[in-house]
Amino acid sequence: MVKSKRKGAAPPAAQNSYWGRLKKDLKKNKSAYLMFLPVLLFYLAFCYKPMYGVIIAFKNFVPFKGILASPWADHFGMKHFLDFFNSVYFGRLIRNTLTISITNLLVTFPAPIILALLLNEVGHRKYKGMLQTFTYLPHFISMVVICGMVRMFVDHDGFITQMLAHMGIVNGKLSMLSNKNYFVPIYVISGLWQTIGWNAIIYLSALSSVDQELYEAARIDGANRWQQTIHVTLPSIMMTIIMMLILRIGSIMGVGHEKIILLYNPGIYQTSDVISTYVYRKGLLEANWSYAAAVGLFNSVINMFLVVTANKITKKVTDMGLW
Amino acid sequence: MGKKQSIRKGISLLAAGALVAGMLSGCGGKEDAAKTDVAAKSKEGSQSSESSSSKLEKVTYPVKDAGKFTYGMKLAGAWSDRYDSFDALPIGQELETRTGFDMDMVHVEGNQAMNLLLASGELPDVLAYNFQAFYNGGEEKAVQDGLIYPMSEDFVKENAPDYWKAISENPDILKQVKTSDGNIYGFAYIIGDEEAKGGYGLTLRDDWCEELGLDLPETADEFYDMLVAFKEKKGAEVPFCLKSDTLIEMLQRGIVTSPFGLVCADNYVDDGKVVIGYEQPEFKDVLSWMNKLYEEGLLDPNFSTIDDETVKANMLTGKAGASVGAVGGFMGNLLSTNKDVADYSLAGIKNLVSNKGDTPLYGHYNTDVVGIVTAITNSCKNPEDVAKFLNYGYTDEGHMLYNYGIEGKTYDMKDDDLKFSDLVLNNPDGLTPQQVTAEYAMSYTNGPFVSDSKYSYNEDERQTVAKKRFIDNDAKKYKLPRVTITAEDTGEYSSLVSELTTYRDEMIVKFVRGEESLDQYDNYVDTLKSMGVDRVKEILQGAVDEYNKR
Repeated sequence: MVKSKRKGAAPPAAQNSYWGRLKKDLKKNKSAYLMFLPVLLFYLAFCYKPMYGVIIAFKNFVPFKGILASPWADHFGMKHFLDFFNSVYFGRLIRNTLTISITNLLVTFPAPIILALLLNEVGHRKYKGMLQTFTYLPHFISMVVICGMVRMFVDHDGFITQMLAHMGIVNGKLSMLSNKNYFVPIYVISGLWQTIGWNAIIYLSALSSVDQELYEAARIDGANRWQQTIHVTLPSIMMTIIMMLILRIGSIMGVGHEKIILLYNPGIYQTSDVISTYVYRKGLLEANWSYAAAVGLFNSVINMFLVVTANKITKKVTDMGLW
Repeated sequence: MGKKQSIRKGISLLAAGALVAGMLSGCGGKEDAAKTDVAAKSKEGSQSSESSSSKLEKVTYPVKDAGKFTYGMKLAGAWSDRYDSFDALPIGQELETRTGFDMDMVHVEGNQAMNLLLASGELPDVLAYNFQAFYNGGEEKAVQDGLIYPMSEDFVKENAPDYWKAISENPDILKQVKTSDGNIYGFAYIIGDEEAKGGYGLTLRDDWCEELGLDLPETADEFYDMLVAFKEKKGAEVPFCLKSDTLIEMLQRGIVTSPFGLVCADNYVDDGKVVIGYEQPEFKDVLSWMNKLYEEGLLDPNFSTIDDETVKANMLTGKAGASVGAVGGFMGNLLSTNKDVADYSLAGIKNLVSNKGDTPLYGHYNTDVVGIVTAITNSCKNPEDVAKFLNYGYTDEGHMLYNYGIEGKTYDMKDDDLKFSDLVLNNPDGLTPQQVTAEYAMSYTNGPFVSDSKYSYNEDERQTVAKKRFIDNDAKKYKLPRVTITAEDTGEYSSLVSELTTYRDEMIVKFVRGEESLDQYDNYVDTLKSMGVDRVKEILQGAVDEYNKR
């Protein structure tokens, strides 16, 4: 306000200052701003206002006293962070979080692209539609049901366990979820099954907007199907791929806790316990609010860092980025 | 409800009486009527000066101008499929008519939801919750956090005289319902009889034992031999079936630890000294025995992933022949489900020992005050009134209502013997006795009353025997009392304990499954030390000393 007043003294500058331009724009696109208002309010009310609650990570939060009146934690409020860094589980949680999410990323990120490319090559319309429906159906099953099914399939008498046991890969008398080495594969493969079809849709829509003339030109130049894919299709949908990748990298540290909680058991915590499940146990089960908030905040900071870095790198390498 | 007079009348009478006697001091005197004042006074003279009254004013029900209060409790599976809230149940309605209060229920689904409710800071006036188990730091901390309204002795004497009677009769109980600064934190669930404090142990197919010519096992070796026989001769796929939580619970409750010279895998007290059971060298022997059962396929190989339903199903169908559980919820449930199966029988056995005829060192044994406490919160505007409501469970009528339901509906008294009615035993709507009593009484959970298990509608003779066997041990000697951790240690203590138990539980599973060799036991103990197990012991020791001094 002060700024705009001061600048207002010099009319030509006011036209170009931020506030001046905003004012002008507000007048010009009144209705657009009006329509934007609810969205802005939504973000303020549900995304920004609750953020002040994050300060409980630096306090010893006592619900009945409220957030502001709760006493500050020791070590200048950093007690819970230090506790976490010194915890015996710190290394394991970070390792598991990274292992699970990076493996998951490596497998489930390219898979929908490949599926989309393959579907794109299917000529038979009805067959293509059927395939698509089949692959994205699991997306509509709730996570709880999916995990219930997975648990049954890999139980000691489940069909997957029995199938693998016949091939001599696993012990047919044991549930696969009781073996710590199988957790990551189970998690990743079931995730692939659940998400591949749905995630392919976005690439399919990107593929449908590729200019057909480009293919024509490529064919004239003598490119075969494979070369067309490499030189026409992929570059055309690169922007979509990069965008999806950056978004995915942002959630590397945010392995979905619902699925892990539904699948894991204390016997395999060694490979399955991740930061978010730890936060869940600490915060919701043990009511250790401040500690859980500190761990969660730490997690978010790393996520933020990862998104920014991923964006920078892709911008450098491909000249494309989110911002 | 002896006296048909209101509280106010009573108090004015008492004031008059006390004035005449010239003895009114503060809010002390609470006499029934002026007549008895003199007698009581002379009695008081010989007692210490702080117990200002030994005779208490009775609360008359229904309480006049009782009003409304909000009551937070967990939704109980025992009735939640048929009713939405506690005040819609026959017992809830009866409580409202009898006490004159209007309950406004706030139900939450589980402990998680309860923790969220607490975090919201918007508390109901009354809260029934197992603070000891699920609130960080227990009742002591809840009082400190400003959640629970701490009741002074005088407050309780004045507003909940029957509760005061129930807790003051036994100095041990009084210790258990107090915080370290001497206030009473809430209305406790008190276990009324010794046998009800146990009721948890090994449960096995005694019909198989009989058929195979085996005595009920007493030692670890006999138990092992029995499992082998079950597997080889009875074709039990998983002779000893239990899930990992139960396995850890079994070790903590010392069900199978005595043969190896270990009291239990939990914290216990030996001669006033706190001992951490799960870091003792003997625990290694217990684990290697469990590992042996696992390796030989006697213990269910899938114990870490199965659930309660699977355990039950295995026990019912003969896939398993032995498990661990409670005498009612587990054994009773199995027996009643399979009551029409001709060759099916279960027995509860004494906890295992090293030599035949020994008394087990430990077993499941509850403190007098256990589980859910019904506390008045600081949101409550009229704690005096609400205390009168909560007092009802400790009166004679309330005792019967909370334990057995409504006379003439769920039971009838004949010659001092309680007979359950047809409503319970042969319910016209096809409900089980458990379901009916859950609607008319509160015996399905812990509440503001003294439990009473004198009469039972369906207790099998075998359960009665099992109860006696389950309690036949020295647990009383070693049991850690219901201590309170001081406020300054609470945070440290709970975070240490939660990390330690996570680690311990994980390692127990690994040792039993042989994923971690028992040669690594020393490493395990070293890790416990580095995680601060000694500090836990120190804090507990302080709490035990403080408790003994109360």
